[in-house]
Amino acid sequence: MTQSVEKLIQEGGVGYFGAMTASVSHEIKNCLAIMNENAGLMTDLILLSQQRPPLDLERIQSITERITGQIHRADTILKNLNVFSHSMDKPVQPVDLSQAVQLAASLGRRISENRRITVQHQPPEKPVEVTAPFFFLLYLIWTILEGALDAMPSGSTLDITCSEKKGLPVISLFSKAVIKPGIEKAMTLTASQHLLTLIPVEVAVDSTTTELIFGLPRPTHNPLP
Amino acid sequence: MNEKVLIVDDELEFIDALAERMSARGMDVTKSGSAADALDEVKKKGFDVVVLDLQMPEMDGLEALKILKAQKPEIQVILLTGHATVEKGIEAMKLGAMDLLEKPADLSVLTEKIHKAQAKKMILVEKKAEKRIQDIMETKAW
Repeated sequence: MTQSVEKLIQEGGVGYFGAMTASVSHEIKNCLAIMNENAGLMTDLILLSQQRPPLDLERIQSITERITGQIHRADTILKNLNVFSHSMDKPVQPVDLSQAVQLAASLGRRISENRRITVQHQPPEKPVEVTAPFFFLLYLIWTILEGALDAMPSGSTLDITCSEKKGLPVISLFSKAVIKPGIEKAMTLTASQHLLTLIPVEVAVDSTTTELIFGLPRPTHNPLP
Repeated sequence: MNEKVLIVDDELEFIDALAERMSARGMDVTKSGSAADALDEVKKKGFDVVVLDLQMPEMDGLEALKILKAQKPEIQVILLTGHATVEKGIEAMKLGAMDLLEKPADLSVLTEKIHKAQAKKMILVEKKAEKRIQDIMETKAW
């Protein structure tokens, strides 16, 4: 591992990994708590029906549907966690940018929910591929997202999309809410110097749509120093 | 006497099931999906115990606990959390929480803690009433 990458991991990578796993484990605990209460409720209803039959089967069915829903929720969370934990397996790899955005937003869902901000991601019509160090790309996307969350009022919605503009992969952020001025500069500064060396990002604001645009490079070589 | 309990959690499916199970055990349960709503409920209705989630959008459990204890010090608060840490536990106790339980919690454990919390609240209310009577007697020089 080069000195630069080591420094980058120390600077923020470990913190990012910690914040995301904490967010995810909290979500899983909530799923387990819901399953636990609903399983308990079903036991209560069965015990009550032994004294006062009949057993309300429709009720039981609706409870099992709730439990199944939570199993699917926990399964998705764990699948995301697994992809995240393997994001450092290769130094660089081809990544579907839209999937990376979706993953970064899902991992930090608890954090955005705590700020009462909805992050909406609309997948592009055509896949947008980048070659990047996957973990650091996720970290960069989260830095962008968190910067936007910091600049938005509670209760608002943030739309994030991926596209290709002039042959370059682009992440665009848009919100109807009032975003603090100068946010694009703040977000670039938040992303550490080393992260930006690894994945250089061009930031712009579309004055007509007020979209924040992050242009990513499409490296043809290994960007790791 | 039936315990008057307020459950506060942003996971609505969780509070729905928990409230139903607690009601079946004879408790008078009210549900709230946010800390802000819970504080409004507390103003409207007298509760013995508040079961409060630690991590919630906008206002977290510790912040709500602080406000709650300032408004109604006799109300007993049991915090529920995904991950209980020693630091959080100490902070919660310092702010006046009666207990901290980790999710998923065993209902029999929670129920026992609610019984104890109600008993503690009754003692506090009685002490408060005694103090008031004593103050009146002293001011009237009886």
